[in-house]
Amino acid sequence: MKPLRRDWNEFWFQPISSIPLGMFRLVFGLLVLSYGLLLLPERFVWFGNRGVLPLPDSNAYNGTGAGALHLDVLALRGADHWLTAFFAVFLVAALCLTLGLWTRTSAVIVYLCINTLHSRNAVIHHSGDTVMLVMSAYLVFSSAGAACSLDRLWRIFQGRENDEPPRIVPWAQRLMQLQVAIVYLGASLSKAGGEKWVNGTAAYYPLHLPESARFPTPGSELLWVINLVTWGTIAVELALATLIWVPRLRLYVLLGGVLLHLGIEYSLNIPLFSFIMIASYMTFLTAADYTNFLAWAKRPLRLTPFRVIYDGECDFCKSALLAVRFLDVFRQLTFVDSHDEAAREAAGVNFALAEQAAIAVDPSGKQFAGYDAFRAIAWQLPATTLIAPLLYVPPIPQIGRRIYAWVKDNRGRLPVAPRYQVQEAAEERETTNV
Amino acid sequence: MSSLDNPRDKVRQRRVDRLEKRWWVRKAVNLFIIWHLFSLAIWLLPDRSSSPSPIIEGSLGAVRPYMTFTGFAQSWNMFSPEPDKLDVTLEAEVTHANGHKDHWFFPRMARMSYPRRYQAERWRKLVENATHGSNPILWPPLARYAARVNNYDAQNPPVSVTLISHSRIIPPLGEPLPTYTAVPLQTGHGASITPIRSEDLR
Repeated sequence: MKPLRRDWNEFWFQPISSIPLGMFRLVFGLLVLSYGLLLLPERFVWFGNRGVLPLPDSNAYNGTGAGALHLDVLALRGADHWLTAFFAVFLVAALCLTLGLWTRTSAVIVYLCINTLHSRNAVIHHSGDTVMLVMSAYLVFSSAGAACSLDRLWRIFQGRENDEPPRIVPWAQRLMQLQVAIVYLGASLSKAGGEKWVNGTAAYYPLHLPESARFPTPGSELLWVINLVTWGTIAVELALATLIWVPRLRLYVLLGGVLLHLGIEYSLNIPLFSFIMIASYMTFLTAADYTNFLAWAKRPLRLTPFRVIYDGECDFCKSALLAVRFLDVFRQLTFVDSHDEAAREAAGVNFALAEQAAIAVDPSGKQFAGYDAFRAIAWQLPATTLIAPLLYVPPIPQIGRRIYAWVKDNRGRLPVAPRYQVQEAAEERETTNV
Repeated sequence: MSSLDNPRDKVRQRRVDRLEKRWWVRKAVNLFIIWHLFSLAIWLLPDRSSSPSPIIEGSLGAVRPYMTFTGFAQSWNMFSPEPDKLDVTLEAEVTHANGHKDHWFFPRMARMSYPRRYQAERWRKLVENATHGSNPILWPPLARYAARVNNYDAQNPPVSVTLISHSRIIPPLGEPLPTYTAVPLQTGHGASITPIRSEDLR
């Protein structure tokens, strides 16, 4: 009994890296945001009292379904004008969840909103929407804001965390993994009992339903292709339920699942379904998987390692660099205090220049100062790469240089991270005591 | 600075320590996990209807309120046990006060651009749910919606709506596609005709 209890406790409660869950939350939040934005233009049609399923009809429909107990915030405020406010709250919460801002609260609101939309109109949701709903419920119980979140950045500002994200107790994440596996087990077993699935022709039908099909699928008229897709689907689903738990096979099984769902995404029009399923696989990844992925992705991205020389006596500058370090996912930046003479001279930067502005130095020794340094660094950070080209478009450089000059002149008055405020206060206390 | 220099964190750490010492917290989480997994397993057992066992039926009764209220009431029967072969669209025949009939189709995916189709897929799901036999409760609200959409003349409002399905079965590989058959949705008493009252049009 003891080994069983030990294994149980290890599986549910032994702390693991928070990075996979943080990455899942980020991608999942984007999908929730997309779900809300897709529904927004026709919200009155789907959920309004003059739409396809007014509240009394929705209640009657739910009453005939599996159970009468449903969560529906909209039922409390049936009037249509609440719908717009409801969607505003939902979308803001989804954005906050994506960014990891007030993560737990955002997750609760997102879950309540998705559950309400499902209860209010159960007729228009597909299986992918249901997976979104259950994943949002698990997120409520998880430590989804422990990594890759603005909540964590704030904790770094406060001095409560440093470079390594904290480890988390994974029971909620384990429930997500089990949910995914159980879903695929149910799906594959159910298919195994169907005649068309057994004889290998089931995939032919959805691909030829004009209302469900999306792009023309090459080979969909060939029996051997249909057989391959049909039986391949059952095999991949069964593997996602069983072999996924074998560490050596985990990544191969996930790759099979990704290919299956990319195929579904191409050939069938089921909005967000495949992306939600692929996102749910992220809960099976480990911190090492992410590290390996970053190392692999670094080469084709051709990132440049920069040394960033900053004024180590400027609390505002140090605060800003905390954010830059947080965003430096590929660890391309090395930070050098301009008062560290040896390191500064090794970078070939003179002290007078470093006093004037932050300097970014590339491997060839080329130096970028102030706004130009900011622009050079922006290319290296995934969160800012997309806006980096805009930083060259006039009049943005002119405005940017002015803002940089203003910040430089006023940096003593600008807010600093609480961790430095506390330090400052302690230093002041020491000085007073002396 | 150590992470516990902040007084708020000391409080938080004390709270964590206290929770660690409270055996019942972990016990509660364990109980929840066991209950949740049990509920999921019962709910996701395939094909419950064909061989109803009293134990499973009793368990279902216990887990049903939990599963539906929390939203975990998930079924995973997409394309199974048999894939959907019914190609169906839904027409509303809207009869106005003067006897004029409008023929209005619920939005059809096959006639939309790819981006619009992505956003409007909910219509396909709605029609699928309304026409696949088991949901006549959906017909009156859909008929009233069609009446509101076609209520363009205050002097000549819609007075009744008949929902007509246009369907065909996708044949096996290699066989030619049949043409669509138009059939009014049927209740036990014949075609389902929804009378439209003036308050339905508001």
